[in-house]
Amino acid sequence: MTPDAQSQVDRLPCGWLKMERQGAILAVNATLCRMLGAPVGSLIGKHLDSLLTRPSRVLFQSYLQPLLLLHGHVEEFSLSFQGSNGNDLHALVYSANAGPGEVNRLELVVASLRRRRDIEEEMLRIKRAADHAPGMIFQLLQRRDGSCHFPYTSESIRRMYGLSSRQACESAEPLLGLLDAETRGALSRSLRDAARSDRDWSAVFQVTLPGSAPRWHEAQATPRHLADGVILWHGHCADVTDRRAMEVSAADRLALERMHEARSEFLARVSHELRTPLNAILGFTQLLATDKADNLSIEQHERLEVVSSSSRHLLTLVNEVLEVTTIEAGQLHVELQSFDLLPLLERALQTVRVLAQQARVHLLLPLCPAGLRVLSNEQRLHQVLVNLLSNAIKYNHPAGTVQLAAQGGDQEVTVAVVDTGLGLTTQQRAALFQPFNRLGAEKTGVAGNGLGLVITKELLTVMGARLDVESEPGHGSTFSVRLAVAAAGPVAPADADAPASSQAPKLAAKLAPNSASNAAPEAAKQAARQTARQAATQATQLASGTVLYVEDDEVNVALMSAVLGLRPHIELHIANDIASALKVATQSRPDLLLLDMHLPDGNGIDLLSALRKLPGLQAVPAIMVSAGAHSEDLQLARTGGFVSYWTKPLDVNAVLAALDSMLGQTVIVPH
Amino acid sequence: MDALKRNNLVISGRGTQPMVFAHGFGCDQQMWRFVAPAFADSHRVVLFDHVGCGKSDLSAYDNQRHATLAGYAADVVEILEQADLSNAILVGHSVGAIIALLAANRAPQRVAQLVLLGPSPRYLNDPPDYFGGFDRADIDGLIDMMESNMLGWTSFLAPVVMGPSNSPALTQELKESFCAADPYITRRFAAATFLGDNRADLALVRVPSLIIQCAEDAIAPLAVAQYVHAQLPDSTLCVMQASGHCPHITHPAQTIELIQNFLAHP
Repeated sequence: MTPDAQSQVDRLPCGWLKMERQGAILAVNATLCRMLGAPVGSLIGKHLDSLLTRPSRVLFQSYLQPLLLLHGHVEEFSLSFQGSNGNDLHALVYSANAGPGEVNRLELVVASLRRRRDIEEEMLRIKRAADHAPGMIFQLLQRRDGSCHFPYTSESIRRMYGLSSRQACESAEPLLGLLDAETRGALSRSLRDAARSDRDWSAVFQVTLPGSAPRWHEAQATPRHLADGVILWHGHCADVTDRRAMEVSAADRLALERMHEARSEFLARVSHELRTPLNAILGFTQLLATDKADNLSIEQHERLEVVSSSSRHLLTLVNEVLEVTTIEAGQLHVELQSFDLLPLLERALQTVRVLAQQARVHLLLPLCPAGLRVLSNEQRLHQVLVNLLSNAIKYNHPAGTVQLAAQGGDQEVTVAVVDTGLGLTTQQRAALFQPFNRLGAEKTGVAGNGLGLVITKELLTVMGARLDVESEPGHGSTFSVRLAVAAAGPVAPADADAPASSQAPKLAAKLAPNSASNAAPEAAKQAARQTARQAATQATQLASGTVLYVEDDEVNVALMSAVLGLRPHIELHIANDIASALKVATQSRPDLLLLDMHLPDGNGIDLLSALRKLPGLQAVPAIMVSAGAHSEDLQLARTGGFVSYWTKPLDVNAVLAALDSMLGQTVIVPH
Repeated sequence: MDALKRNNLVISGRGTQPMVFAHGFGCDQQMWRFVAPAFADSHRVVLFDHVGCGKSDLSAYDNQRHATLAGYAADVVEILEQADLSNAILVGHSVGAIIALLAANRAPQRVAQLVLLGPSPRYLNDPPDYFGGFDRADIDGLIDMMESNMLGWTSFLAPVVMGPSNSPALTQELKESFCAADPYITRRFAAATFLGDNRADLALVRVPSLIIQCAEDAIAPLAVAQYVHAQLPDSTLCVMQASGHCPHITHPAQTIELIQNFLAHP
């Protein structure tokens, strides 16, 4: 190259070089050397490759060089050169064959690009954001003649519609062809309407790709009116199939929950309603047995016993169904107390002693370290243990044994109910906690309804305890209750929630003159029976006075009248609602109030507070009589000023005993 | 699926033994323009475009199948089967060399020999024992440059390949051949190429092979060619005293001679 020619290229405001077609550099200008920070002359003889960054080398080798060798001309090719001090030089390259006479030589012009690089990076960023966003971003151009195409679609068009941006750019037809005719018509109408009123458009529609299941898409777009009636939409499409499925399943779940709630409510209502007629059946059966028993033949006595035991069985079932639904509805709340375990175990064993004697099963002495305390609910734990013990006795061999064994650990206390009974197969164990599943016992004649263990397990869960089962067919079963260890500290009184069984017989009788079904007041019942027996035999105390019974159900009234008829010194007044109750009470001051909870014109609590305002009635004892057996009701009654709460059906003897203890006067009655 | 249409198969030549040319990354079958005609008298010359390149059927691109080079190799095997080519010589450049090699492993009964130009079974370095020439950041940079540059995600940023003197007809041809590459596919092809690792496939090759390597190659360094040579059971390594990665473009005469020698004295 002549010095003249060199000085001409040196004066160019851009980089310049000449090279062989294989890439070896023959000449450079001063501007390029300056741009690259390389001494003049140091580049001659080097390969162009060596000036480039590594990514640019790949581009050069795999694209630019073949392009130049095959076609001899390239413009605006972007390459990065390695800078002198680590700052790469981003440049646009223009290249062509050198002039005639210089075969196999190429000239290259290098223009630094700073501004364009920034724009490029910005655009690349936007493009990536658009392409990698989960939905598809689009521009849709609608002409007046109805033809349309997508000038721009992000890359998601491949995933969502199986098309390339280029196809959609040519025509919207391939995309619209994926919609069925009806959808297509509806979309085009809604688009037209939105465009006419110049508002945003949105639609949810179904798309079916060949060989795939239909998907739900949601599209939103904003119109822009251009010249000649052209409408340009900018919008976004998203696949909402999963969201729709979720919405549908949420709706299904809600419906299921409602159904479940409705079922629980129905069961609760039915059980509740069944208790009132059962109240009458049981009550009158008892009355028949005690009252006119002398007139009955042996056969009739036996039939009466069948009526009595069948209704007791039905009552147990009703109570348990009610209990299960209460627990399932999350309405059972138990308070946890710290208490001594051993007395509770002894009481539970005492409760099932008669049953064990009948079955000729031996109850072994409980194994329990003295002073072992647990954190639980005494009444409910008693219920649980009695249930487990009953099962251990019922499904046992004559001469078999049942034992309670308690053991304390750091974290928990285990109470095991160990029996030598029939044991369970793996299948039976799997179905152990299914309601009404009696695991084949329904064929054996052993009484039961398949709800006991369900309740037991639910109760333990509510109390934060667990139930484990170990069993082998023929080798008996061990049901282990795992309870929390009572924390050190002040100890709550064991009878805080007044389990009737731990009270003195008198109070117990007051509190729980209810049916045999409720396991907790079992001791109370015994105490009551004892009291009743005393009344019958020693006849030291018989109730007398005026009793006001407020109840709107005629059957209940009839029963109470019959029961109180056994105490001739009692004068019974009946009222059917609050209004008449207040009137009756004013006319004749009662000595005892028996109030139903649910009255036509209000509830028993309100009635009591109204009665208390009447002269002389501030301190008259009041007893709530109700079919509801919820502990909440009991609490409500107690805070409302009731001294006791009788649940229906009533135990006739217990009622009499309670009356005698409250209204009793020592009178001499001929035996 | 018609593999011949899918891969834009072009068959020429007067010989019987097929020579199938697999192009590398970034271009299409035109890359063989200076080399393939030399074998037209002696062989049946088969040229094709990988899916997503040149005039291949873009709709045949399968995100899963073509996520790795094995999918491209399966395409080549289908070409051999559907065109009923056997006793074939597979000639591959760069990533095309690896694709040819994988195809030979899949259909050894149809392949007689391999000619590999600048092959690299793994571009990424795998320290301390393997030097592929690239770090992960280099590959990311490459994909960035590709996106902003050659494959033209918007037409105004694409390089202008036609000169002012070119006729409109030629311009159209150029555009078709060089801008047809689908940017979506090309970016994924770049990932399959530059992030793949096919080292384990080398030892499985059962046919004789020729490795042609430029002494100074910035993309597939000489050390890689030596590694390939060591791993390939029956291979010959020829190092050209040249610089670059495309000897079939920059040094076609030498390339032809090396291939002819190999075919004459395998």
